[in-house]
Amino acid sequence: MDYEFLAAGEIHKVSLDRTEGKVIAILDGKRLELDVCRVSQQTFSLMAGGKCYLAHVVRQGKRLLVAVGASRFCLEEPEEPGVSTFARAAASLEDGKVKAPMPGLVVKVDVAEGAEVHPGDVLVVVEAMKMEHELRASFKAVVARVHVKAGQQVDAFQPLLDLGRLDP
Amino acid sequence: MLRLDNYARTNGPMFKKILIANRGEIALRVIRACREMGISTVAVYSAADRGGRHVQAADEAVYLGPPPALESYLNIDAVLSAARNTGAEAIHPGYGFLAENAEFARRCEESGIVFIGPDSAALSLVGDKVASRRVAENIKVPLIPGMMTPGASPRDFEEAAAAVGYPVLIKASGGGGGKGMHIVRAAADLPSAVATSRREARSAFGEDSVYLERYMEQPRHVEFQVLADHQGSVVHLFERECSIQRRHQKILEETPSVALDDDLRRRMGKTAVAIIRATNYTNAGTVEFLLDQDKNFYFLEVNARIQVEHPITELVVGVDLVQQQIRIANGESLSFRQQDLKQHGHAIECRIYAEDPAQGFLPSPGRILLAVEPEGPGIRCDSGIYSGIEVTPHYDPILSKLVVWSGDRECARRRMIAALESYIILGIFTTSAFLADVLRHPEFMAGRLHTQFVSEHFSQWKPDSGNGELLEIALIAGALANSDDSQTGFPARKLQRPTPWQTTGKWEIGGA
Repeated sequence: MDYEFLAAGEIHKVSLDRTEGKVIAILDGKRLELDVCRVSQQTFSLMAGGKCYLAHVVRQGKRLLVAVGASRFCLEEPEEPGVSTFARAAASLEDGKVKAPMPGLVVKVDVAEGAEVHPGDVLVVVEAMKMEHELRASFKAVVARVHVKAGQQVDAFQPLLDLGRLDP
Repeated sequence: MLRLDNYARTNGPMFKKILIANRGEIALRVIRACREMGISTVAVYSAADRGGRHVQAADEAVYLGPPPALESYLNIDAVLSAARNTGAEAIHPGYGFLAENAEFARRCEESGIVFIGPDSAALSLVGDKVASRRVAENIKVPLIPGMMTPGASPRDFEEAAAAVGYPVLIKASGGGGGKGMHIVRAAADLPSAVATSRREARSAFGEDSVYLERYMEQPRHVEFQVLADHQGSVVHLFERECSIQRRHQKILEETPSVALDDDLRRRMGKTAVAIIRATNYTNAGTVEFLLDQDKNFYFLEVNARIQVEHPITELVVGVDLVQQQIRIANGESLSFRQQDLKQHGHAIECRIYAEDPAQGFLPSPGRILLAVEPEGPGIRCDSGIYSGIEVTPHYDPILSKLVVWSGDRECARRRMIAALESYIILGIFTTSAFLADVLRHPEFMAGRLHTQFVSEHFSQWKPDSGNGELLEIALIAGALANSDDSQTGFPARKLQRPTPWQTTGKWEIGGA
C-alpha cells in the first residue's frame, strides 16, 4: 500500500508491507524493518534498528499532525508537487491579499479604499487572546478593497484587504 | 521532603459554598481546593466555555452571557446575581478578570458576599502604581528613581527625565500587563512616547494618568509571596524569580532564585512584609521587585491576587496557598509563623500558552486534537484543556501550567525538559518546545537571567525539526494511521494507489 506525503516542502513516498509480524516500510526507496504496536487510535509504538519511538498521529482537515518524541511534523496532501496547501493559504502580503494571521476580532481598520500606503504603515489590527496584532504594509500600494470592518470576527486566513502594488 | 500542607480541619464554621468567578486552569485549581475542604462549588461560564473543564468539575454552573469578557466574566451584575441565586457565601476571583477590581470587591462587600482577597480600600491603593510608590517611599523602601505623582505637563516629564537620566520608562498609573509602557532613550522622543502611553492607558484602563521612572537595563524580576490574616499576622513565603518573559509577561518561573543569598532574601522578605502592613493588605498577595546587576532591589508593585505562578511556592514551601486564601477570608488566623517556613528543594513552572513562538508568539486558537499530559515523580500539571476542546480567541492564551519539583535546580531543570518533551498537544501551536530550549540554554543553566533574556537569546527561534530519522518514523506512523485495519494498523485490502486522504475519516477525533 502506497502513500504520498508532503513534509516541509518535499514529497515522500511510503509503502507498507507486512511479513511475519514485522512491518516492512519502503521510504523513498529505503527499506526499513519495524516492530509496530498500535497503542491506541492515535498512538503507535515503533521499534526500528534497535531504537524505540512513540508516535501520535491526528488528522486536521487535509493534514496529519504527527508527534515523534519531542518533534512535531505536519504531513500534507500533495495537491501540486512541492506546494503546501497550508503555506498557500497562509501566503501573506506578497500577492496583495492581506489575510487574518489567526482567528480573532478586527479591532481597527486604519485605511480606506483608494488610500495610498507605504511600507510599515499599519493597515488592520486584529486581536486574539488579549493580544493585538498589527498588520503592516510591506510595499507601496493602493488599497483596492476593504473586506472587513472594526468589531467583526474573522477566521484564520480570511481576506481583510486587497492591495494593488505601486511601482517603487 | 515534598509535602503540601493542606488539611481538612477548620477552626469554627467554614463556607458551605463558593462561587469561582473565573475559567480555565485557575478555576479548576480553586475547585480542587474547595473539594478538599468540604466546600461545594459554583462555576460560571460564557457561551464560549460550555465545554470548559471548570464547568465539568464544579457542583453547579451558571451561564453568564456571550463570549466577550465584558458581557460574561467581567459582568459584575451577572456574577453577583449568580452568587445570590445559588446561595454562594463567598467568591474566589482567581487571577485576571475581576481579581483586582476594587469596584467588584466593594459590590461584594455591599451584598454581604465575601470577596476572597483584600478589601476594596487596599485593592484601590495597591492598584494605583503611583500611590503605592508613595507608601513605599514613606517607609523608606528603595524605589526606582522617578516621579512620585502622575505627570501633568510635558515639562513635568522633561524635568523628571533629566533628573533620573535616560533611558526612561513611561508607565500607566492604573495598569499592568505591559500596556502603555514605553522606553525612551533620547529627549527628542519623550513627548510622543508620553502621548502614545496616555492613549494606550485610556483605551486599556479607562484613565490616561501616566508617570516616568528610570529604565533599568537587564534587571531580574524577583517577587515575594505574602499571606496576611485579619488578626494582624503577615508572613512571606520567600521569592519567585520570573525573569524569563515575553511582551513584559512571565513565561517561566522558578524558586529559589539563584541571585539571592540568605541575607538578601531576608532583607527583601522583610521589605515585602513591611509594604503589606503599610497598605493594610489582607489575604494572599505578591510584592514585586526588580533586582539590578549589583543586586540592589527596588520595589515595583503589589499584585493583589493569587498569581499564575503560585504552585512553585506551594511545592517549595509546602503551603497550599488557595486553601490559605479561603481560610483567611473565612476569618481564620494563620496557623504558622515566619520562623516555621523553610524552602525545600527547587521548583520550576512553564506556562503552556496557545501561541507560536516562531512567529513572535502569535496567538494560536483552534481545536486541540490530542492532549497527553506528562507524568512521573515531582510533576504537577495544572491544566484547563483536554483532547477535543476548542481553544477560542476570546480569553488569555494559557492552556496549562507544567510545574516540577526536585531536590536541586539542575535536577528540576532536567525533569522539566523531560516533562515538556513528553507533553503532547496536537492541533494548535504551543510554547512547550520553545521553553525546553530556554531550559537547555547555557545562560539559563548558569543562572544568568534577566528580563530581556528571551529577546536577547531567542529572537530568531525556530523549532528543531528533528533529524531525518524522526521524519522517517513520522512518515511511517502517518501511513500506518491511514491503513484500514484499526486492530493491527495494517491494511486489510489493497487499493489501487489510494491516497491517505480517502481513508483517514474514521479515526479522526474532534473534527477539523
